[in-house]
Amino acid sequence: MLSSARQTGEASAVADAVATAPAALVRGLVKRYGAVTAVDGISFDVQPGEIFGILGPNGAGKTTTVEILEGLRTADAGEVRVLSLDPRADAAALKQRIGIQLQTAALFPRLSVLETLRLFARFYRRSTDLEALLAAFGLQESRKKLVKQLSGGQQQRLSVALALINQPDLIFLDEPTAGLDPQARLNLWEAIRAERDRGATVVLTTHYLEEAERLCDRVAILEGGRIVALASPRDLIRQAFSERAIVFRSDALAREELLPLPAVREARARDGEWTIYSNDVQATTRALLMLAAERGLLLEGLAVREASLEDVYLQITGRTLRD
Amino acid sequence: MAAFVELTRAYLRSFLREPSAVIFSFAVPILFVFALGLLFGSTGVERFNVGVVGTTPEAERLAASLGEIGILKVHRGSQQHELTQLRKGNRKAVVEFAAAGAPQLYADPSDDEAMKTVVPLVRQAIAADTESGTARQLPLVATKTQDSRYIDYLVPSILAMSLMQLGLYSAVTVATQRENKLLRRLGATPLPRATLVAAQVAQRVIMSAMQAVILIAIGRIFFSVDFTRNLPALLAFVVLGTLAFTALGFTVGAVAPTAESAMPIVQFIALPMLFLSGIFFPVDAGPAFLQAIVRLMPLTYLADAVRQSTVNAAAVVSLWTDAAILGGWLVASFALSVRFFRWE
Repeated sequence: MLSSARQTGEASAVADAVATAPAALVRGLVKRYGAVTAVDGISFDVQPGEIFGILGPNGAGKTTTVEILEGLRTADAGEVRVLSLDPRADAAALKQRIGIQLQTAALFPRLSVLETLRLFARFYRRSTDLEALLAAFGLQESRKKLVKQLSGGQQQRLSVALALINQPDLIFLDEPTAGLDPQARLNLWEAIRAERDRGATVVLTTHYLEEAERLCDRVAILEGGRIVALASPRDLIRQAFSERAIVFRSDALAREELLPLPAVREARARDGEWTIYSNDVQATTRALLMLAAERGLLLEGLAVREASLEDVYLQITGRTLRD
Repeated sequence: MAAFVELTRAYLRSFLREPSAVIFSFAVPILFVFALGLLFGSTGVERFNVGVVGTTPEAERLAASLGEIGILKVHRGSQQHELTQLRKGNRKAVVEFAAAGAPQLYADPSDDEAMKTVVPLVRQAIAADTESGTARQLPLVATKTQDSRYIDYLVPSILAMSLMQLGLYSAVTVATQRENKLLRRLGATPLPRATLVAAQVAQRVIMSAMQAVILIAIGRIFFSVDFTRNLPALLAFVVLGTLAFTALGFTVGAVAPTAESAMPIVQFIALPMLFLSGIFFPVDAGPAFLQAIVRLMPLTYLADAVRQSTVNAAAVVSLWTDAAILGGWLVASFALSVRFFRWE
């Protein structure tokens, strides 16, 4: 009796440890391609049940990082645990439990949508309801179409749907909304949130800051193979800006004239559009309007908006993602 | 197992839904059979072989006079050798001059070509030989020969050729899948890599079997070629040949830098074999170095084996030798494809 009670206790302790263990754990991860260091000693945890975004410009090491977690590439140094497993040594066990969407991978061009889903479903012990999956990704009408006849957006949706086919505990999506129209993007966000609500963890990379801001529970910003920021989008914005942004168009004003205005923290121009970050929008705007009146300038498209993740990104990396 | 079956179906579907691949692999060999079969099928393009046995002056004179007839080719040899060749279908008729007694004429009465062309020519030549007193109606010793029509040679050869093409074509599939990252996507699933390879091999074997059935049916229906002589051997060599050439195709696919370059490399390998391995015509002439090359080519042995196990044409080597050499190619190609295979 005693020993069985102890066993039960141990079992539940193990279960607790598994439940609270990070979905992915990365410590000091390094990956080099020849002389280029693609990932330069990064560390982070992905918590169970969160949508974790990895942001960064091309070549920042996003895809490399994700592919090491997926077990598709080997790390040169550092420790990686995914669902408490080693992605390389325990690849067979891990692949049953994760879902993967690759950025550029092709499918069988001459299989239909339904045939493709059925084929991939056979690779896994666990499978989801294919009809529900077709519905969630708006592919019911195209079920009999060959993959090569699908539009780019439909192919992208199929590719993401395949990542969910085994009801994975952890889902990796590499730029899942690339090439989608706005409506399809919103639908895909819904599907990703539904996966999280089911209890799955999602790791995604994206080029779209708005997407990260609206979809992700936490984001890591990668640049040059290093993490330059990691927090929830709200916290990142709050840490970087306690203020809001004033935007307008003008070619006749210089940064030196704008910075001394009351409550201004930062002023940036891009393509003739100014963004002024201010702690006190009212004071700054009043002074700005007076300055414009003195100089006889028209401030085109003058508006006040909340600071966004894009502003944070700009501040941290000094450029936009699309540069 | 379910994954293997479904993946094999996926590869088969992908192939059968690609018109150019189907035409290239299935239809071209069929066109060859019809084109060459209708052109040369019933006549044969070789000269008719006639054996003359014996060293009497009479034999020498007959050999000389037959040799002047353009469509005949005269062979001299021992009685045993010439009669063996006759039975194998390599002679249309054999005339034997013993030291004493009347000459003997051997031929197959059921062979139209022999009876309508060769036997009358031989009889005329003997009748015209005024120096000897034997010029009379020469009795015919009926000897069953194997069919030696050109079509009987051609159809099994074409089957071997299409097995080669089906196998080698896997080079393009492998290189394409690597290039468009389908291999990488499949590698991201729990699918075992051995299953991935096995499914593609199974696809090729099934397509080869389909091709064999089609060619056998066409041969039988349109040219009355009887293929059913040694079905177990035929089946075994269809599988062995497909495996050997698929392994070679995988090697090419692994080595080819891009999908686009895989096809020319395949043709660089296939074309010499097509012309030198005796697919369209038996190759027993040519310089020694060419003969040496022919004797290295796997298609030489696959075609030989398929012919032997279908219409039992004259053997180049024994079936076991064919199997051993094809097996050697299979093992070597398999080792190379494993060594050079790339997933991306």
